[in-house]
Amino acid sequence: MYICPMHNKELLKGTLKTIILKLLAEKGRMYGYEITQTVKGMTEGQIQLTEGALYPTLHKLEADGFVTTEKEKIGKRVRKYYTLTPNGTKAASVKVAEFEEFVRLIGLLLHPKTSMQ
Amino acid sequence: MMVELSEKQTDLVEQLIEGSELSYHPFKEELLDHICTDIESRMEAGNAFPSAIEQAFDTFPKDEIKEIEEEILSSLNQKHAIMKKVSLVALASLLLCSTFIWAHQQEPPSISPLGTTFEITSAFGQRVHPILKEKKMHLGVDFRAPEGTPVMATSDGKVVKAGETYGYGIRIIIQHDESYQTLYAQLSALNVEVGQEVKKGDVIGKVGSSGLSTAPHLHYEVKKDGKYEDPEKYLKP
Repeated sequence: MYICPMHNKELLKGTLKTIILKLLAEKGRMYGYEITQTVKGMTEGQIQLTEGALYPTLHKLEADGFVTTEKEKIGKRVRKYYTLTPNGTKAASVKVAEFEEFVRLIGLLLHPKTSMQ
Repeated sequence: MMVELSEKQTDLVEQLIEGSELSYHPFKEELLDHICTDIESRMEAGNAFPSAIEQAFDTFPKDEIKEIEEEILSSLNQKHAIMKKVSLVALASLLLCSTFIWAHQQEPPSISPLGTTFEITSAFGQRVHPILKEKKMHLGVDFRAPEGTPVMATSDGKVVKAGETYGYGIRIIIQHDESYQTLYAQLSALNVEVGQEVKKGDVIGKVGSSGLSTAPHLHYEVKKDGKYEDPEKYLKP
């Protein structure tokens, strides 16, 4: 799953799809390694996606029609870029909204006093 | 400083990946780029190629590569398995439907209930009822026949009614399929009971004069999809 010294794996487990969809919505097109580096950079190195979590999720998103891929030759290598499909764009906004609401509700549970004011 | 691996270096990485015996080409290709990029960024951070490649594969052990591939394939196969299941079900129901339709098409009554020799005394259609003396629709045909003549089922089916009514007297109704139903009336005896499966040609009862009848005869009706048909159309195969 994730290598995240400070964060519980289980907490992040269900959010990987949301994170990937959101990143693709922001950046347009990305390749696998770029996604891991972007997540690492944005979280001050605290959240590092492992390849074992990333690629199965990316391939699943592709199979489900949320992303399409295009290949580009880089010397001897082939780089695979992921882009959101229209369905993927919709899924991204729904998932992000869902997760924000979830975070808000957890906030209500964790800080009952603050939220009652 | 931008680093890009040489062809030789890329080949080396590829060889190391080969060691994991991956079978899913799209992932193999993607992984090669992933690890090469990782090595390049480690080299950009100041490492030499040998230590960069070692570090890259340290965080990415061979057996883990194989596991990732398996996970990808299983998530994709799940989808395929579902699709397979769906298409199998579709195929099965299509087959079932066509057998059903085929079976239906095999079912119309195709013999005379009295065998090859018969005499029709009253045809299907408008007529004056012999007893009621009113113009009435005759819903079947009447066969003249001596009392006790065996009456046969005109197609395979299931007996849905076998008993006596005021008008028909002793009568049998056979359901052949969803479309066809036949009725045999004015009988003197029943050889079958409700629920019994019968074959074309099975003797199901005997000619009589029960019900509203003036002389021994067989009243025979054919219904298709609830509508009365002229039985004379169904006396021969």
